[in-house]
Amino acid sequence: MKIPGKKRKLLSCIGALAAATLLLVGCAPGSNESGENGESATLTTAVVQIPPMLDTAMTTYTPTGWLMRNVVEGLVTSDINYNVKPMLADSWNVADDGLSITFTLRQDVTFHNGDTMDADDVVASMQRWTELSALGQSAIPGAVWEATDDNTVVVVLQERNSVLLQMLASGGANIAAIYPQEIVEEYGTDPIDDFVGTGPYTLEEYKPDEFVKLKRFADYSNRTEPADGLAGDRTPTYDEIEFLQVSDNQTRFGGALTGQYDITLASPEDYSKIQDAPELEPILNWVGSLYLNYNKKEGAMADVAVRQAVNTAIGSEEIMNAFEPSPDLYEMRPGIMLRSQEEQWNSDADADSYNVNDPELAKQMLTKTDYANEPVTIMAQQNDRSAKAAIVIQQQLEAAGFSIELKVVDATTLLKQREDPQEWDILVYGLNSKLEPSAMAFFSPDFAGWTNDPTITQLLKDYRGAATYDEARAMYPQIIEAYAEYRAMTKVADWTDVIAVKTGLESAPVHDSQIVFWSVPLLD
Amino acid sequence: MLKAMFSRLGGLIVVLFIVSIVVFLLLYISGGDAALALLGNTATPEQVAAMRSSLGLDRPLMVQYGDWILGVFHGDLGQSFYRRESVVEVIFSRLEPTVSIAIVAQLVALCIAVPLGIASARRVNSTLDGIVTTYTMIGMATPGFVFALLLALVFAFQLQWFPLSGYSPLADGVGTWLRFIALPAISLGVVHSALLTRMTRSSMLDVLSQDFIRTARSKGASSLRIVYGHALKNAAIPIVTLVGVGFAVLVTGALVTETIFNVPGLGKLMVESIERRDIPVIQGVVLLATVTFIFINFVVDVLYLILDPRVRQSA
Repeated sequence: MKIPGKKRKLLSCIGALAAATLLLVGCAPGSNESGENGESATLTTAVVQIPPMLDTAMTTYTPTGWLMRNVVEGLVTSDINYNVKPMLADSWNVADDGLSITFTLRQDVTFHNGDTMDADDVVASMQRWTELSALGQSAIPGAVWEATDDNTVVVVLQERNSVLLQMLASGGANIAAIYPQEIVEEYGTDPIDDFVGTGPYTLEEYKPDEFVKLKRFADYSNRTEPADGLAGDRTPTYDEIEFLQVSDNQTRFGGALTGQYDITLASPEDYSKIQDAPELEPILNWVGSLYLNYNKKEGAMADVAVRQAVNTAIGSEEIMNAFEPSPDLYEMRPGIMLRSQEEQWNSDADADSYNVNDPELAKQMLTKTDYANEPVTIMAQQNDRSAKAAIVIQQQLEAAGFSIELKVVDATTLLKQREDPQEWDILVYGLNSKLEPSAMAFFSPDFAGWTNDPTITQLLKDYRGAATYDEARAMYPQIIEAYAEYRAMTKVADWTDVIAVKTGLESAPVHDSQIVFWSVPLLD
Repeated sequence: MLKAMFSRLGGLIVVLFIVSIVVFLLLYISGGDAALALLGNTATPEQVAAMRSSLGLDRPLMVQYGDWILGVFHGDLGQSFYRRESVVEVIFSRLEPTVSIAIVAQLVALCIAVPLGIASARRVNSTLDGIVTTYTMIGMATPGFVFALLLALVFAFQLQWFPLSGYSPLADGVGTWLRFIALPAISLGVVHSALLTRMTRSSMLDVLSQDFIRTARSKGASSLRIVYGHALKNAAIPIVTLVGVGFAVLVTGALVTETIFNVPGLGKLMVESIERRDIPVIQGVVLLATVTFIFINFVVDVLYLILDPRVRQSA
């Protein structure tokens, strides 16, 4: 059949376009997950943000911690029940007066640069952590680290700290990481960007806001105990891990559905879609809690009676239902620690004042205060769950007789403005959990909210100065009681991040705010 | 002609200076603090003060601006607060994806717009003209991100022909490079083609009704020769203007497209830097965008002079 000239041209064009498309599609790279036939197995993880700094002593970003815990290690770590377990230290001995702790180090631990770790590396790293990190400054101000021999290190404290080991075991923010002495000395008080650690992975490449590439450390000095939380065996299953920053929620979730990413930090809105997708499974990562933080320095919330009225008006379920698509994703419980930490920290001392949800009672309480209907500013972060929560909180407080102004700002502006007591009265935001309660930032008089209560201050002093860790733990209910009486914060509920993993990876363990990446199972 | 060119160049420096001051002041009054963004949620006031000092943020505003502008004159745009690299290095590392997408998008737009515009002008008031006019109206009314999301849904999500996100450098292979930029470039190019088609059509209609075209027809010139040999060259000035301005529009359009497709280009760099108040990078990108915009306009002006003897004469 003869095709007319014009049609032939048209068909030629269509044919050329189709060929070009097929050629492009044919350029698709193959999967790199299996690790079969000698190929390297790569785990691709899409995250919301690659942090701007990876020096765990300098930044308090939790994402920095859970990313870097693959690369660096501390003296101790925690098991799945948050018990302190050895890591680079084999054992430790707390002096009878509690003012010094002697750590016996493991021998033959190799750094990523091939050097062997010794006591000088530990002293240099820990002294820097003590002086530079927010956690170190708060935990052991003025402490001095000394090496007594190649494998023994002593920390001499100014004041006893019964929970110091829990703080050193943190796998989230401010990991007390051990680096080679020369690196610590080279960088001093500047941020380290030469990350030579002892962890199961080496840092191959890091581009802030773009990606982090980790590679299995072939000479990793493993512990012999079985894997348990962050403790024990850390033999990596994958040769390489890529963390990619994909800021847009839809793009990230689309990548999970199309198989581009093995592990994806998803948005809670995608939870049901993950459950419905045969190629994906959800993992719930209980990271912390949503709080109302009060400006106790000035304004209406400086009066504890007004704070108690606010607390009485708050109904947690209504707030959480406003933005969490499923009750699986939050848990309403009093206290300031997570359910997974119950074995260590358990108290119902504030159960009566939690989730009261009684606007009429709040109104009555308010009439007995000096509150004269002046506007109360609620501040929350744009594009965050807390902003949606703030809208419901505004409604609940208006029903209780408060005059509310809602202020929603971007993350960086919020960080700046929360330091100014004239900018806000109530700050609605999420705080990550910590390994022990005194590390919660809102107990600090320097932290936004400016908690300043002699009872709490004395209790925290006694708690840290307790003779043993168990004695300190026994004081937790008293701390919670004082926290509720002073109404330092109002907890709304514990909440979870949703992680979408490829089917087959759902047994990946989660501990201390994130997946334990070295233990993620290999896909078939 | 040279005098006209130099006169325009002098004006550019004034524009650049004004833009740099406006951007600097806008960043200052927008609030936020890079030191806090670096140190995280629970940094102590002492840590924040030390970081502010090390970043130079504790200096008076005029001193910060003065240092920056002096650096610019020496070719130094400063250091990124986050990346511990010079701003020039940061920008260059993000330039390739954005320029790649803008060029391919421009090619897509031209490949669609010029044939459609010409065909539509040659058959004015025909069915084809109606279809093309409808296409241009829909194209101009549709926000770029809507089309980008549609493309992503069909070709990346459903058919999985193209990756949904990311970028592969040209050095890693042309095929893979094209696969990664195809969807963002097509989404930008198709939307841009609507305006370009409309401009080509109207410009061609103007020219095709001129006396010299009638003369050419009466002399027996073929239809193809009339369109491509006589009319298109004369209709090109508005099209060239739009192509030039369109390049700048495509670069700024990349802000949204790069976010949707997670392409690590200048648009995404800008968004991230604004979120973190990485002032040196923001200043650097704005400076580059302004220079690019002005340079493209300058090139368009020069092309006017080359293409149109009347402009040359008046210059």
